[in-house]
Amino acid sequence: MTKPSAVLVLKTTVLLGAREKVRLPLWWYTTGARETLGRLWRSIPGSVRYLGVDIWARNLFVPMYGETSFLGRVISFFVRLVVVMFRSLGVVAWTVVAVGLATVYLAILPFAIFGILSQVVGVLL
Amino acid sequence: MPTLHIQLEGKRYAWSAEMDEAHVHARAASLSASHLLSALVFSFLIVSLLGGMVLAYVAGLDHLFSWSFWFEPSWAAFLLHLGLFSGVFLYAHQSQIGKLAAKMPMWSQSVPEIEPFSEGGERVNLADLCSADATAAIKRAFELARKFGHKQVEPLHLFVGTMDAQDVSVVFGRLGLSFQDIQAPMARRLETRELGKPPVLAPEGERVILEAFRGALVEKRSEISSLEVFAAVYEVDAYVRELLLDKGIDEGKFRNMIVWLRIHERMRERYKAFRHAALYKPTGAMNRAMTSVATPMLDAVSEDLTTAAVSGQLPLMIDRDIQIEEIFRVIEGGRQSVVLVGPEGVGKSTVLAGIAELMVKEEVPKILQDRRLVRISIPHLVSGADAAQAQERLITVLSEAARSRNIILAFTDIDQLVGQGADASDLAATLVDFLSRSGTFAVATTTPQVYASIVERSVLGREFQKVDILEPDQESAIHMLESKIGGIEYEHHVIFSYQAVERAVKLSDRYMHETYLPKKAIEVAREVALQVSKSRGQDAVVTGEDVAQIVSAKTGIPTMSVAEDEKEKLLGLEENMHGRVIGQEEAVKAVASALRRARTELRSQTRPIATFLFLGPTGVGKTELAKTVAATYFGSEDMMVRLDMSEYQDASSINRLLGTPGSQLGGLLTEAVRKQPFAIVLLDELEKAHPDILNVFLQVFDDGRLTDSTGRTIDFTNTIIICTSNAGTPYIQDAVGRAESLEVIKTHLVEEELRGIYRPEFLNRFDGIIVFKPLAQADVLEITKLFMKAVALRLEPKGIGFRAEEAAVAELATKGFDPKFGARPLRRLVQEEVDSAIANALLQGEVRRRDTIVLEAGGKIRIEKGEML
Repeated sequence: MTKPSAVLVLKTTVLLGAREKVRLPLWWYTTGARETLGRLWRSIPGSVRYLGVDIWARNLFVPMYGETSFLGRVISFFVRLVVVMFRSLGVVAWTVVAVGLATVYLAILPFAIFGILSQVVGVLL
Repeated sequence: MPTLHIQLEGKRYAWSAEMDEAHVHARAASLSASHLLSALVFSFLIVSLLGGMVLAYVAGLDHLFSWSFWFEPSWAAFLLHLGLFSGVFLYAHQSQIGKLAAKMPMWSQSVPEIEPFSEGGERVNLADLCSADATAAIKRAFELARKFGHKQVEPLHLFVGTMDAQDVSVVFGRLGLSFQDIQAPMARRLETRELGKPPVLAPEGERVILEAFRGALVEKRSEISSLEVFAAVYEVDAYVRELLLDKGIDEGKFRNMIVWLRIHERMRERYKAFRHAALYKPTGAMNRAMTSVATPMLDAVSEDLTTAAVSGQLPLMIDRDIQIEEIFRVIEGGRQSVVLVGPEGVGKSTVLAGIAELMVKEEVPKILQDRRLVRISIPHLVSGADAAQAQERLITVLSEAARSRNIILAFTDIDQLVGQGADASDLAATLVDFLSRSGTFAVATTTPQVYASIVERSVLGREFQKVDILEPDQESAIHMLESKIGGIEYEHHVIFSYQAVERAVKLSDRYMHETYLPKKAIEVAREVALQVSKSRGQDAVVTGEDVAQIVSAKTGIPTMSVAEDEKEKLLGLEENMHGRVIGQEEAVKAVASALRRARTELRSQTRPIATFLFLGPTGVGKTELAKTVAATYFGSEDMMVRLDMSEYQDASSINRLLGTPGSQLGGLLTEAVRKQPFAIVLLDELEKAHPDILNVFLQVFDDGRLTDSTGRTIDFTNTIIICTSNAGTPYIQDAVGRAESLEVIKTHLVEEELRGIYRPEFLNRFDGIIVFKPLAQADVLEITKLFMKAVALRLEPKGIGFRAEEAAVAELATKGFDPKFGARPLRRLVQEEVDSAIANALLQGEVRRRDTIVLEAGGKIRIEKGEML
């Protein structure tokens, strides 16, 4: 099988690099944002499922371990309430992290470009 | 411009990639450039981040979180900003590479046909849906065409192009084919192609890629892989089909091989999916919401199949979609429990596993969703308990299951419940009562015999709806075995060829009738793997012959292909047989041809190897020929089931033959053939048997099987059935005396003499009715010589030689010849005159080792002294 020459590969690399750099902002805030933010967004219900908050909340009034006596039901309700609260905290914590990551995603590109430009002016010129 | 397309959801899928040298190079360069760019940016990222961090550390880390650090001019901040930007760039670049330019449509209905291309609507280039290895394969096809200066890229080019792909090389490896095997005919074919340049994709080539696309749609693949292209070439190109057929790979083999790879792919995907599901599915007795009741008794006597499915411990269910659909229909429609009825080894437990797996995936009717499938072990339940305790335990278990409310019960061999329990009712009644009241249901299994004899008649029969799980056909069994081969290969460090898999199924199906597919094939495969790994070491290839050897060892039937020395033996059968049977040319020839047909697989597979009726006077060699066949074809004279039909003269004696109804013992004939399925069945003096018994053999001659009193089907397809009969002997003797031809004698016998004894349809079913001539004086002389040889053989172990003089032999032959009784009087004569004289000499101590006894005329014996030591 004949292979493309090294010159052609280098030329293509330069062109590709340049093209991708020019297109980067557009991709970052359209396709890239859709994919990355979408992944983060989906991770929130994922954390709900992982921590079982939905199942615990749905079964809030269902007695644990089949203890159907009045006392069993009362204890079960409060235990479930506490557990749901703790588990919800986990979800909230992850949501905060996800929102943080999304913010970083949205801000990082202008931050880097602005930084480079200001440093180029200050350090190099 | 494409010439063909497939229309799907308003889009036109067609091949429209430029494949000339410049384009191909540009694409390759772009791929390399992309990798190079990733490497460069990554290096730059590391260098700038490291540099920036070192400088920031030198300047003091306390400023790191201040605005001034990042935006006031400094080399540290500059490098860190460059690092961040490189990171962003790399993230974007990596996200974009490796993605197909188009998206594979999801399509679950029947895939549309290929049509002539027409403009209009959105067009999707199939090149954008090809995986990297498929693209590489197509590229190789174009390069091949370019190298040969061909005008068009045809299916054959694509075939060669795909051969280097990994999946396809697995296909070739398993099929035992190498490129060298097909190189010459392919080169000849390639030389005849039309020349011209640059090469373009021929319409047939386009059809291949479109067929590959259809294949990928059917298999719900996310891209068109090289395997799809390879399979499509086979579909489209008759030459490739013929080429592979020439190498012994027919359509069935090819398809099964492709299915094998897809099964592997499915298992890989299943493993990945289940790893993920295991994150969420609890594996203990408690469910996630902790609503289920602790079920200690149930847990002690049961196994949670859904949990086992989550951890991927259950076998993969294959080709059982119809049965699963039926089970779900019964459960959903009638809210009824189901009993899976099928023989041992057909995969009832695998169907249970399949249901558990579908429950994990929640691809089940609503009524089964969010539930657990729990298999109760009846032996565990009843062990160490008397009837009342067992009943109590079952009630506890059932009430635990009822309170838990998320349990579907499964029972293997449900018949074990019947007849156990306290006096008034048994466990089955308890279960049925529970099922009818609680609104839950169960899936059970049992075998057909037990279902008919126990389950159907008990209360279980009312509650449980029957779903038949039949033995899979060979094709499905091959797929099932293919799904197991990976595990067996891993365990024993061997590699199975496709032929080995196929023969494990086909040979076990044909020769092992006691057990069922796919279990018996899986067992054979396991044994072969162990045997091969022990004898040939790691990574040895298991071939079809290895499988045949194991099946032969298990059944005693030679299933291996005919080896060189055996070929000579088969071709020289007549000569061999004449060494023992004197005269009777016609009989020997007919038997020898039947044996050759059988061994070269030209015979019918559903009838005995051969059925003969030997007619003729007593003592002419009928039984001797049967013994000779046993010795030459089956390896030993003992490979013979011999029945004297004079013992079966009344109709009731059929019970001795097939077994008494109601008994579990089986009959004399059926048991003998069951234990020795590869043997001669010799029915002596057939004319003396009761006519009803002859009717039984009608079925054996026709179908090659017989059902005994216990309901077992006995296979006669590997037997040679020889019936001997003295009927019509006076006529034969007279006719031979009148020097009539054998043909005339036979016709007269069948039409006249045998009419009152055998029905025409019975005679008609024999492969050959062979008339044995009465012996002539010359024959008897030859037989006498044979007897003399036998005497010499008997003396050989004692170190004593034996020789008979010509005159002595002639004298014996004359004295022993009796046209009425054949060679029988001769045998007696040899015993009386020769054997007795030798015995006397031995007892008197006249003969020592190395001496030679010489038989002289007049029945005298002389001793030639051997050399002294």
